[in-house]
Amino acid sequence: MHKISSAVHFAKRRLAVARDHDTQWAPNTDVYVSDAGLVIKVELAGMQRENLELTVEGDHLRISGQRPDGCRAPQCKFLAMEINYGAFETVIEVPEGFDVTCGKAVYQNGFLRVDIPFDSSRSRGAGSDD
Amino acid sequence: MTMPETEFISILGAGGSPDASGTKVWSKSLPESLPILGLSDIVIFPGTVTHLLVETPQSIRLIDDVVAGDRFLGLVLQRNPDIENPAPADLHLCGCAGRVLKMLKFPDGSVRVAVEGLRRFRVLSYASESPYLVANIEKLKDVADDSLELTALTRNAEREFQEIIKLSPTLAEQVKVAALNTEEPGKLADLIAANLNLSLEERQHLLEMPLVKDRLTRLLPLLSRELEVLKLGSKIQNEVVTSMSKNQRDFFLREQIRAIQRELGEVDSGAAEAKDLRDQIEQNNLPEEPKKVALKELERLQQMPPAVAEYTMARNYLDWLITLPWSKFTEDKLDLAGASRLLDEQHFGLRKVKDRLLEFLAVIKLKQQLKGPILCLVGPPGVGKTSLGKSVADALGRKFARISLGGMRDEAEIRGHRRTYVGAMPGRIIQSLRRVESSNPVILLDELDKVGSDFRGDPASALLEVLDPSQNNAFVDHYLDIPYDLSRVLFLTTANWLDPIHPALRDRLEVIELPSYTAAEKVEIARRHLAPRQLEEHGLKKKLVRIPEATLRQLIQGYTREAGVRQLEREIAALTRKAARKIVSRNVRLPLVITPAMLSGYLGPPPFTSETAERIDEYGIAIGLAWTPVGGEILFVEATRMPGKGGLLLTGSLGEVMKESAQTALSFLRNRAASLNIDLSDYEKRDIHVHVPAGATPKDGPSAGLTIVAALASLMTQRKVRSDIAMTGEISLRGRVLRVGGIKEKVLAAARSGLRHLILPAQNRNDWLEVPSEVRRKLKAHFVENIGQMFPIALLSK
Repeated sequence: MHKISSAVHFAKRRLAVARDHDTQWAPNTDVYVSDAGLVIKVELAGMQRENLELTVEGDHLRISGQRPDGCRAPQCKFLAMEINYGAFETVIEVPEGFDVTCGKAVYQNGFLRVDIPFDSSRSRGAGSDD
Repeated sequence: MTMPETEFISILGAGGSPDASGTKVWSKSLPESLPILGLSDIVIFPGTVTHLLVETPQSIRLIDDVVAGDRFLGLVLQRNPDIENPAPADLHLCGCAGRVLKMLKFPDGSVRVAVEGLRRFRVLSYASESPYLVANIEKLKDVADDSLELTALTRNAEREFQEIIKLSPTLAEQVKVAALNTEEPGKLADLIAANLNLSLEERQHLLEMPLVKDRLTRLLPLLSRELEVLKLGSKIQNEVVTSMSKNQRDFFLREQIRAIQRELGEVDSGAAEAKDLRDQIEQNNLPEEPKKVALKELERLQQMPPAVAEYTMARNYLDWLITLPWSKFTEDKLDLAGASRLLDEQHFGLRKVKDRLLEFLAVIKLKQQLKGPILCLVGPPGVGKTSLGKSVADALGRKFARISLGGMRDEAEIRGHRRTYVGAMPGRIIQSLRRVESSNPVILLDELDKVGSDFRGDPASALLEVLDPSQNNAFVDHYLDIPYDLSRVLFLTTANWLDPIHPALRDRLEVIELPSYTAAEKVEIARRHLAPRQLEEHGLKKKLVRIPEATLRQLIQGYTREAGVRQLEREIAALTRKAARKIVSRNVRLPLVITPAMLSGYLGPPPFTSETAERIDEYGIAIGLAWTPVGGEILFVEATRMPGKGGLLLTGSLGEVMKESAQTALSFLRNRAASLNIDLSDYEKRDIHVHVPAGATPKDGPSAGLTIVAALASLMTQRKVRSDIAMTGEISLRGRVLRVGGIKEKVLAAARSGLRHLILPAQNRNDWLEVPSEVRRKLKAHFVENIGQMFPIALLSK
């Protein structure tokens, strides 16, 4: 029960903080809890480090950036289009029990992975209830 | 790839760079001008993802350019959904900016796109119209405040929407989550607007409202309406489900009962009933065809649950098939002497009928399979036609059924209703057969001449089949729908007269006329049957009261004037009542003998006297004889002369034929004036008036011709007609007297009225011989061939 309502809560926060930058797209994101802590995985292929920015605002983690479509010819005709380019942004609320300030972000094989450890100052069980 | 596979990225703390200068701003705001895609049947709201199918070349070009570019476009509802390439005037002013999320081209050239709505905009002007519309736009921001009112509106809307999601079958769980996750009033309003079942106009209207408060205010009534509709729908659904489950429950319980009965070793009632019916079909010895039908029906019955309405119908039908006496016959008593004795015991006289019945019996004795004749007894009321039927059945040892046809109007009464009708039944014939449980009864069809017919049908036509000896061996009743053999039924019919009977029907009948009873016969009937019956009915023993023959004769002559004996029986009943009272009050000596002298004391003075003999004391009156369905009558013909213009006046409800015979009579007399000593000198100055009382009774027929001649001749010659003479006969212009009908009834009427002489057409001599001899003895008959022979007999000399 707790887990479900927690998930709903989680999702709610995530949407609620979306800002007025309504032109941005949101990349596909996984969020899960492992033994080591919270893992946030964002599907962001074809990125350069300088085009990616992670910002912590209180207990929110903002992932924003811009994906260029470098190799596209100036005049082209699409037959199928499913990949978003340009500015994107996603804001994730980090639940209680994790220390967002100790997070580590790694960009590997087209995925951005952010590991956020348990908050050592608090009791461990609070966030990893399962 | 020169890039390392793993790159570590620093996470910027918000605290570390409070001003946004450190963060790069990637966001790109909407351009000031957007390509505009006209939407025919959908309104896209900000925050929703919608899949669109794009087919027109112009729009495909637009999508191509958008996808290759920054992927923004404007989505605007068309005013008219049928236009393919809308002009600026065909589009609403407000739309929703969107981003193409996905696009896929199909082999047939059409394009499918997923579009995410971003924000509202208003078209300021159109920058170009070719190859597709491009508009300069003004972005519209949601205008919201923090007022309590807005909060209240938001909460209300959200609560109602959640309810709707719960009830609605079409809204997915995702929408519920999305709604829970949307706190911003403007976005919530858009989410609701996108998912609620609204008309296009309503949606467009909501899209055009940047003021969040207005949007919610408009949404709330729509929400409540939708909620009401859904609640009602679910209530109806619930009711349906409830009634369904009740039926299923009943079925389940019934099956359980059956299972229990099987466990207990009891055969379940349906099977027991079926077995019972099958046994009956076997036992009742049905002929082949009904048996086949019955078994088929039984099979159908077994497959039917007893609760079905049709079950009862099928069951009834089967009952009829089984219980009809298909091959049951009673054995005829073939004892001619015994039958003759029985008929004589129960009915006096009626020789002709009895003879015909005994003949029938004799033939049956020789040949078993004789088709029953259809006898029709015709005669006035009260002569015993109906009661004869029962006697015939007794004499033959057959079962008896009587069907009264009087006033019957519906042919279904004879032939039954088709089984498809609710409450259908077989006709009376089949019903009677089942009642008497025999296929060779005597069936008396009473009052055949009084069958009605109207729009509902014509029972007489149905009777044609029943009463035709060559057809009725395969009589098909509508209800049974299989032929039934009526050929061994002895049909007797009765009627007062034959005229109203359909000619085709009359043709099938063997007519036996029952004449009126003579006074002597009446005395016998009264002595043998009526008096004993009345005495018994009034609780008087034979020893207590005696009614001698003289009294009966006086009763018949003075107190009744009828063809039959009904009035006589009533008078005898009155007599016995009075006697009973006398005996009970104990002031008489027993046995009480009622003498003729005592009659007026008991019944009052006699209403009828034979005074007719004295009634003619003037010229111009003659007595005629008439035939009516209720027996013969005497009638007077009066003629008189008065000053006038030589016309002939006829009154007394005379029919055409009778009027014509009056004219014939007059013409004849004028023609023969000289030989009859009739003075015609003042003929032109006088009118002649012929009247036949009673004026209210319609009369017709040619048989009064002779009487009218007599009356007119009496008037013109100033010679009176004899008061004790009555006459009948049709006349011709040449003076011949022609044959007439109903002689027997007429003669009996004349005898009843105390007349002495009769003038009859010579051609009717044979009919005279048919008249009972005791009547013939009372009357002197004069047979005439022409009118001239009549005058010396009828007219007195001056």
